[in-house]
Amino acid sequence: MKKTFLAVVVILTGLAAQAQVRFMPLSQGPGDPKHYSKKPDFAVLEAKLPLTPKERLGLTREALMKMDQEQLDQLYGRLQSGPIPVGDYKGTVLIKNETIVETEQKLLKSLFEKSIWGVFGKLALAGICMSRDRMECLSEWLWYGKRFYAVNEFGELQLRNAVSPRVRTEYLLKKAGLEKMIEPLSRAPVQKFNGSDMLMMFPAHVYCGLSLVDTRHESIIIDYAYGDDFKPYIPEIDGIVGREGKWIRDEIRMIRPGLYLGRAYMDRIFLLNFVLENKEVAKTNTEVSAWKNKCWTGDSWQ
Amino acid sequence: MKRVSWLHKGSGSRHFAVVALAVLAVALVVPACLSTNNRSQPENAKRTPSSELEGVYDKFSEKGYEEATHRQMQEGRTLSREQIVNEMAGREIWYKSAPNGRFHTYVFGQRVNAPIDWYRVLRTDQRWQRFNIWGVMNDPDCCTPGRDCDQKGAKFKGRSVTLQDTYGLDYCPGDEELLGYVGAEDSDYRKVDPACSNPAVKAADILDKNPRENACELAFGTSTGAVGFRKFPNPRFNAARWKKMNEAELAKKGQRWDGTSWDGLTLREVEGSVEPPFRVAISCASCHVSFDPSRPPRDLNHPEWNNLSGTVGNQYIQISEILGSGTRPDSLEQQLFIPMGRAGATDTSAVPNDTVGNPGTINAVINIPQRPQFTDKVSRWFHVPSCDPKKGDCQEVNYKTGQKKYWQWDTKDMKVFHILKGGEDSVGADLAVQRVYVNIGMCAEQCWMNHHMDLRALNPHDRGFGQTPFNIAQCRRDCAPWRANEDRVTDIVQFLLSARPTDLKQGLKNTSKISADSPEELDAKFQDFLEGRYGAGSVARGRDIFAKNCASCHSSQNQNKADLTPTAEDFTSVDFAKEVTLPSGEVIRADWMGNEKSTSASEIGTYRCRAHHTNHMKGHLWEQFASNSYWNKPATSRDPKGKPIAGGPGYYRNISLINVWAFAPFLHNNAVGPEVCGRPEGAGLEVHSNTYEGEQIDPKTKRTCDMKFDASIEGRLKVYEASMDELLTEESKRKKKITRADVPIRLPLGMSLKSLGQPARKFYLEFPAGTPIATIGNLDLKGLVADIMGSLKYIDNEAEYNKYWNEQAGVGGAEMAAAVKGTLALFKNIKDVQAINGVITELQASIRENSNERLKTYMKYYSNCLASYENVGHNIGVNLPQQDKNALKAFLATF
Repeated sequence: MKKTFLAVVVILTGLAAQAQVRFMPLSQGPGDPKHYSKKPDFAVLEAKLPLTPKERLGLTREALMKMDQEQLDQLYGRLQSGPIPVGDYKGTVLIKNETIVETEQKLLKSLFEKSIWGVFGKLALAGICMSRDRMECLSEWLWYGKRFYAVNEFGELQLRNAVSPRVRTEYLLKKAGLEKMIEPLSRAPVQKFNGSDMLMMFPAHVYCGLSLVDTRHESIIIDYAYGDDFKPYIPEIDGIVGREGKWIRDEIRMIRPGLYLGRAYMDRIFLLNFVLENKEVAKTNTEVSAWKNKCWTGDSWQ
Repeated sequence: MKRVSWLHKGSGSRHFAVVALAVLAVALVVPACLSTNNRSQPENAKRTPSSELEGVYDKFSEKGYEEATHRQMQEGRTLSREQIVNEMAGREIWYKSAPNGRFHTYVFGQRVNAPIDWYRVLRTDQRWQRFNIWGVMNDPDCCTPGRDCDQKGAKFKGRSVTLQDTYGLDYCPGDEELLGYVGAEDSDYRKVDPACSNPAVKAADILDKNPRENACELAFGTSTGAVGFRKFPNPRFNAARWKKMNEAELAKKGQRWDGTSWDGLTLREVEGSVEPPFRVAISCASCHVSFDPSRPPRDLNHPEWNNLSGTVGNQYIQISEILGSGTRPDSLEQQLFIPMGRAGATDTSAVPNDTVGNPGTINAVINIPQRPQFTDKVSRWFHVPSCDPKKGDCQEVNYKTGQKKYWQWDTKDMKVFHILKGGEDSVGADLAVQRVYVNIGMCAEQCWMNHHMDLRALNPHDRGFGQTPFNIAQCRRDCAPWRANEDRVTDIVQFLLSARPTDLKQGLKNTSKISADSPEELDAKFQDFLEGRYGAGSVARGRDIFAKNCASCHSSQNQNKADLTPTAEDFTSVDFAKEVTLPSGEVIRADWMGNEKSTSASEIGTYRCRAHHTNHMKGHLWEQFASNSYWNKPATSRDPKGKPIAGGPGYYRNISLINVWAFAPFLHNNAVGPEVCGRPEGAGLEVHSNTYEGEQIDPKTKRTCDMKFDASIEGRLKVYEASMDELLTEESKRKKKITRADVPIRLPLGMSLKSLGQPARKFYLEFPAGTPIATIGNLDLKGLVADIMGSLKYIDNEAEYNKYWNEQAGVGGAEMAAAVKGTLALFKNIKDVQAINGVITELQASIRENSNERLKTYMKYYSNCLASYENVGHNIGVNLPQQDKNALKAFLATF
């Protein structure tokens, strides 16, 4: 009886701790209900519905996966940078961006079905990704997360992405018409990431910088433009996301220590969100008053 | 600089202070008597030094005191102490307040994609010709390490200052302290910023009964060596990283880093992982300060404070080139930013982009007390003694001192100036001033950038697809510099109200071209000078021609004062030189030489794009700075789709012609008149872009101009006369000017798939050299994409599809329907990557050959402004005989 009672208390406490994040509805009025002009301004949103510590402590990777783009944006707009992470963070891709989803589904449908998508649609992916967007699923099948390195003697912060060795599979590359990538990929460094061998690719600079969606607070930027500052660097691979390639620039903000919400941009066009999680860090940093921001929070000068 | 302590009542050092003041009084009064300034000085205008010396602490502030006190006064009247103190404080803020270092360091690079190459602009080894290159005013108080700092007595920690100390920039007052904060991440320069303890600002703060935000938030920093360009120490600077980056980037080019330049950062283009040593910022003075036309300097690159005026407007500055200095020549941003502005003109809606290329000049601020105002219906925040903050229309501001201030949102009829080229700023001079501070970056991150359009957001459901209104109450709440500026804006306005003309007559006397012992003798000799130049009887004849042809727009002595109504009056017997006494006792010219009324751009016929500025419309960025009356102006033109352009745009105001002799070339874009440039020594330093048709692309001519910058009296008169000649020539006979891309413009479309397996390279869509900039810069790409996407749901129903296009594209409905169908058909046929390559290759070829009819259709109907030649319009007086044109020149030169 006592054990049952304790179990109930624990469950109820857990539920109470997971306060639902509040969101502001879009404003009403004639015309397109999803028009950008109806979305709440972040400054107004943050003043009216600031995120409480309970809301932040209650958020999980799974909860984020269920949010739509507007909810993710409203969440992001109420966050600040937090400290710059150090260590390995597991990654989860969230593709809720209407433009990307529609582009994939409508305009390039026939193109994708003839290449990678067709393979996965017909084979294992149909079983693995029952309820996920196929691009999200493919991303997680290939991308495992990010490693944040400690600062070096020049004050530089490096990051690399943990990519599944599966990406080197000759069969897949040939199927996708990417035979030219086979040799360069064979040179990519392999290291342990969360216990598994991963290709540590796509080096990037990490720094405090401007958010492309909310300039009121700086975000932690993961910028691939000058990834060639870090060695080893494989131009044929790592350059794809660099300044002469697709120029990927990510930005992240902290939900709570060990959990960050990110946004990925290609040539400054927004692509998708992602989550970075390190459960060990999350476990040891629950004291809200100790949470600090490394980057500028909007105080006028710094 | 030796500080002059001011008098405090009851001070124990009064005796010493009196002696010091007496010495200073002699220093000030004697030169004032002998000075060749531009105001008459009746005996009663001389001020006896007293507590007005609060705020005088160096040569710069001494000049401010002189400007404030040397005015033409009515017999027996003197300006109040309050007015002088407020003007001097306003002047300090105007020249120095620059709370936008982060904006120019981070926002430009990371958000606008146009990093500024500050070192290229401000490098101290080019100080000797910095004006020739960029048109900026060198700060008289700064020096070049290793060249003249020792001479000027400017030491650093007791020794000679080096280029390494200053990171290659000038050494300026206050740097000894500031340099210690570079790279000091845990310290806060804000607490010691010169604004915190500025004597003039302090004196004005004391006078105000209302609470004022901490003066430190005004953010003065120190000078960079160019007036109005300020700098702040970057706490995030890392010297080791800086060295490593510079050495590595230059090594890639086979060069060695010299230890002081920022060249590595230039090569690095757009990314933010390397922090520069300073955050460079700009104050209002950067654009508004220039040579006093009546006191030209001996050396344009080395003026004294006496040669500079804070309000004439810098007609030489290449501000577009400065702000675009770090972009690649072939980038879209460079071609949009830079050529859209001659010397003295810039597109102030380049950053808050309205997808219209609409450069405008920096107006000379003169005799504002006589500037016409209009009664507009205005909705805005008003400062009130109190209100109930629980009500939505009331904002309570709590200061750290415990004091409060209240603001109430209200709608009322109010007398306002119509400020900006189209009269858009129309809710009061205070907010007009504050808006410009925001436009140059104050509170940009906290309050402004989130309301901008993101050029790359193409889905109407995405934040940033279009602009949203700047929220004054939010900014007031969240940004301390906004409050610091707002609490002192009356001082700034007071300073602007004090600006007086710099008459040619006085200039001739100051430069000893005319000598006279009395005002009457001066007038007579001035008339002789003009008639010797423009013909006997020309002044009187010119006056009559002006009254008949020009005064209906360019005199403020019209009887019918309402905006949007024609002034059909007889000005024959109007005295354009009449004077009036202000409530303060000062005597100034009565006529503002412009009635400020709104004239439709179609009527005047000048380059219309500036009149298509949309940022002040309802729902757009500057909604809270435009009056209801502005929005209700009748539409006077139609867009390419045939739809009326309503909601405010479409007009130019009838500007003042006071001191027109000094501020040529003419019109809102400086396009009528000769092309002027600096002609610096050294290859590759000229930044001017030639816009004469046929000369824009050829390397031999694209950087040439008609006349070199010459701020002497004679130099100004030459430009003035050439500009009058062009203005009084019918537009079809003027040498055509149009801004064209001087190199191919390359639009990145992502990574070239052909480079897979090799080092990545970008794929570009290229527009050939010679493309009119307006073609690309004025394209309403978002509207086009949104309408195309909207048409997709009707694609299978011909009738609905055509109906949709008729609604969206008006007179262009049928053409657009056909063009879009063709474009969609291309996409339907894409089955693989090779096909994409094929489409893009074909598109590129057609652009190069200008043969793509679908593209032409899109650009025709989705352009925000189709105007091309930039020096058209204002065909008034073009049929006058030459003698009368000369007479007009003579008369206008008397203003």
